[in-house]
Amino acid sequence: MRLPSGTYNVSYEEDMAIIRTRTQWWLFSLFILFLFLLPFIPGIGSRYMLGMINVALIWMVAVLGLCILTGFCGQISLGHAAFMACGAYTSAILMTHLNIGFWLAAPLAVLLTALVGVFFGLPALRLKGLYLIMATLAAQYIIIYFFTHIPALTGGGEGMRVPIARLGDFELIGANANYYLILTSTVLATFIAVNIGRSQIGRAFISIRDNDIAAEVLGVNLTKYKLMAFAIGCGFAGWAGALWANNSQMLAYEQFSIMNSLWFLGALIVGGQGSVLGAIFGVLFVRLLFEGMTEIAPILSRILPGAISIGSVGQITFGLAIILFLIFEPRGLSHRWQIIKASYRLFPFAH
Amino acid sequence: MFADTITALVSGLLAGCVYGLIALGIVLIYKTTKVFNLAQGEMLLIGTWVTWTAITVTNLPLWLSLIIAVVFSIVLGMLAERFILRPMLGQPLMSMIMITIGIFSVLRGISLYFWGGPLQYFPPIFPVQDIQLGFLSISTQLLAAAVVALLLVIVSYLYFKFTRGGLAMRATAEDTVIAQSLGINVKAAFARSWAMSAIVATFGGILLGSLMGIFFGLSDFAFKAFPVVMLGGFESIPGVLVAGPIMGICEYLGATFLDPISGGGIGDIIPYVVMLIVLVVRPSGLFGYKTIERV
Amino acid sequence: MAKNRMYFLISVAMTLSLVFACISCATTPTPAPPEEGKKETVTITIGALLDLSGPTATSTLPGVDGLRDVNNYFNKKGGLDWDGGKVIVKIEEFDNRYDPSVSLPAYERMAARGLPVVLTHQSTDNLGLKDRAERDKVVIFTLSPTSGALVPPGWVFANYLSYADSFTGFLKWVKDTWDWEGKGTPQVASLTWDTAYGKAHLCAEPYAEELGIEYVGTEYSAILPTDVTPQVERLKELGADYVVTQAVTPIAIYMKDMHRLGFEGHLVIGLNTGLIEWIPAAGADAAVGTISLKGLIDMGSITADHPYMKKCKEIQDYLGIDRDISTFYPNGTSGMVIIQDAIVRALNKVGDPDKVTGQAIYDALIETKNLDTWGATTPISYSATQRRGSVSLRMTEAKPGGSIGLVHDWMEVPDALELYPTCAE
Repeated sequence: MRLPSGTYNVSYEEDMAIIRTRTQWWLFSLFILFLFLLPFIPGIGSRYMLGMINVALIWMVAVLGLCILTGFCGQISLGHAAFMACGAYTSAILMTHLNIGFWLAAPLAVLLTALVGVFFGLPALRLKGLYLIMATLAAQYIIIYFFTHIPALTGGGEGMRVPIARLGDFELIGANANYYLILTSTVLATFIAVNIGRSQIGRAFISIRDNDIAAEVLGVNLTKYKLMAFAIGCGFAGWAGALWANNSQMLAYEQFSIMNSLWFLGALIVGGQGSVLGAIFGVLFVRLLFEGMTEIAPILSRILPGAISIGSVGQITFGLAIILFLIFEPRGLSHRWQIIKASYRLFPFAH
Repeated sequence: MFADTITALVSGLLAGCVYGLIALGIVLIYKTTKVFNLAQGEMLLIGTWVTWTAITVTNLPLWLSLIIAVVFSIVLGMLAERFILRPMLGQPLMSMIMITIGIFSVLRGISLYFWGGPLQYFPPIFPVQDIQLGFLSISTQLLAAAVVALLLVIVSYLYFKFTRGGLAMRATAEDTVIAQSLGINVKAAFARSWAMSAIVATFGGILLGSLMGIFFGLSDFAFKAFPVVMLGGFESIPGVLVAGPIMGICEYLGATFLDPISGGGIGDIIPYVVMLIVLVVRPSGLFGYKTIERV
Repeated sequence: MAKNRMYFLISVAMTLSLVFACISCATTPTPAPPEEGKKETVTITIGALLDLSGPTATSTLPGVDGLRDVNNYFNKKGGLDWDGGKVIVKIEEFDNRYDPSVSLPAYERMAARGLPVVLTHQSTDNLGLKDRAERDKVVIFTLSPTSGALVPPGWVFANYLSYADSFTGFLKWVKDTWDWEGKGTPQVASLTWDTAYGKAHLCAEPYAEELGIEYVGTEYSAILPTDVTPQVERLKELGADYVVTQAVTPIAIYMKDMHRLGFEGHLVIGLNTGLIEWIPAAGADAAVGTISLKGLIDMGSITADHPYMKKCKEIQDYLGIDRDISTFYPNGTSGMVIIQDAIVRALNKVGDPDKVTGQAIYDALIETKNLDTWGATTPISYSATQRRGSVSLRMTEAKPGGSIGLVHDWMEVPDALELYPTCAE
């Protein structure tokens, strides 16, 4: 981190800090304030925009979990949407059938999803790469099957109504109220994810990703850390699921399909694996792409007559975007961002 | 009970052969390029649509339509390889997977754009008849599908084992740099593998289309083939022939005996459960290459 | 490599600016319709959340064609007539690709813009939006009758009967037409998918018992089976006379396998799919005897001089379209006719297009009585307690040679959603 001149680090804490100078603290606080005041900005504060932003923020929490699991620890998971479903359904079941409030049900859902994650992470101890992907794909189908086949608890395939979360007398319903809940969660999740990345746990994860045999030789307990990665990553997914359940008020297994898992992974890769900033950028990019597709499709349908299905143009655009991105910018948006920052700092390149 | 079991066995066996055919396409690509092609289902679909258009819209005879389908598949495979996979060489595994997802999206969009969603059907290629063996009854269409699958697998296996082209492809899979330095045309090997996979996919699609009609959900059959690839081993062509029927039989037996208990639909996840169990016990599948890692 | 980077940055910048432009265009509020005096043309905009390119697009698209065609037809003629002149209806379509995470923000947007009606076509949307629509006072008109959304009656309206209703109607028909003396008790079974709509009829199973019909079992098939021999063999063992299915894509396989294995019962297709596509797919021989239950008119069973066909031809000629009319087409046309009628009556009541809110349309819809949809359905009526426009069933059958014959013309069915509240969960 380039520090302004005159700033010296005299302690370990100062050296490790992300936000170092007073200016940076001010900017950071203003940014957080801006995020919290977003609903009051006309245009952006509308139900539509907030609804979109809410979904994007929920995805961010889920993809942050994936970032820890796949980006930091290298365990590629194609079942992330199913873990999100696990959290969502658990939270809904606890609230509906056991009458537990949201504030207790959600953490319990997170815990349960982490445990389920550990269970499905057990094969990870023996599998790597493509085989692990297949195991997580199996997790995706099996978990969803499980939740659609306990009709007494989940309404089976019909879907499930979710009770509303309450803060005292205040109902957390509607885009505005949910926005604050979700924003707080996302900020918290980012904080946790960044700090995990910088801690001893994070270093262990990264060493496992880069070369797990060498890591083991160096004394990193593979079992413990791999399972921990699954627990934390899937816990995040469960958190996102509980938030999703409250936001959409209605759960159906189609909301957690294999395609969603693929989009999460896509968001992570497009944003740049291995960094929290990458996860955030990736989710923003994918959500913008989705919303953009929905907007552009009717316009295109007037330009391209004779198509049997205009929605298909959206599919093609999405696929092309992914392909182009991976060919031209394989290290993702965060890498591009670092380069932009560096070139801004170094312009004109005097050396 | 006994009759039920035998019926389920036979149905599963035949269905498994069809899954094996689709799995073959995935294995062909993986064997040469180490890329797991998630877009196999869409390649299947587009090849089938093109064949259908040739047969019904432009009214060409069957043999000519098949040739057109083959040519189209070759072109499709080579285009995908040249413009999309070639730049991805040397990238980490996840990028490869993601880019096949990109191809999947694009191909799905194209098939929806030109042919839409409505169900279409082939004029019958195989006679819809029955073969009676005691209390067993086998559909000739399904049997023909299984036979074609078997033939294609055998042809692929022989190609890989006994021809120079196949040898080149196997060498490329081992190590592209060394293969290139030995004078093997790596690019051509890649292109060939994609082309072969596309042809296999198209044939699979034609068989499936003649069974149940052509509609864009046909590409979901590929998701059923993934456990088969896994079970047989990613690089093994004969493995596909063993794993396919095993998975098919497990699926049908499970559906027959467990559906009444579970309320239905268990046949869809049984292949995945079996795959998980096999993965834990034998990570490289039945016939896959065991990788020994050294630091 | 610098050239690559430049191309990439340019394309990213263009894409992002295009996307932002579109989004900002989309979020500018709609300009209020101009103040009009008498005999001016006003515009009412409604929204549509449809799966245009996702998994269920096959069944959605023909219905959407129906919606669009009827709408374009009247708009091209200058609009619908109301007391103050003409009104043009604009449909804003959203492709949700069957993904609820896309539907939700899209609905929010439509609600925020004050669109009075949102058309939907899938049960996830109906169930998910039912409560919101009631809070936001937005009418949801669905072309897919999801039981849970229609009962208890809220702000979700459907144009025809639910699948459970089809089943009770069918059972009643069996009781009335079965040769009890000669053949004993009729036996009904199911061969269907393990999905929500696949099992939608099972909740009305107790009705069979009430009528003295034996319900012998439910078989499940995979979503994409290559063959269903085990299931059909078991159905033969059970001695089923009628096998009801609510699956969609494997019907050709069901027909072929039943024919091949010599199954003597009749396949009964629910889910309003109709027969016209399946007969050629399975072969006319295999399809003989299959019965179709529809709440809409079955396109294969009417000839060109049926009033509905004539109307469709008239519309298509006027718009210059030459398209095969699919089995789902009447879904869209009837839906559009109902909405147009409600809009006109709402306009007449409030007198001002600005005042045509969801509440106004809701009030107008509830008062719909015996609306003619040109024969696509029986006359449509809603009431304070009824959200299904038509509770009539029409049964057709595949005849030898590939034609479709009428088994029973429109008949009123017992209201399954009232009799069996579990259907509405």
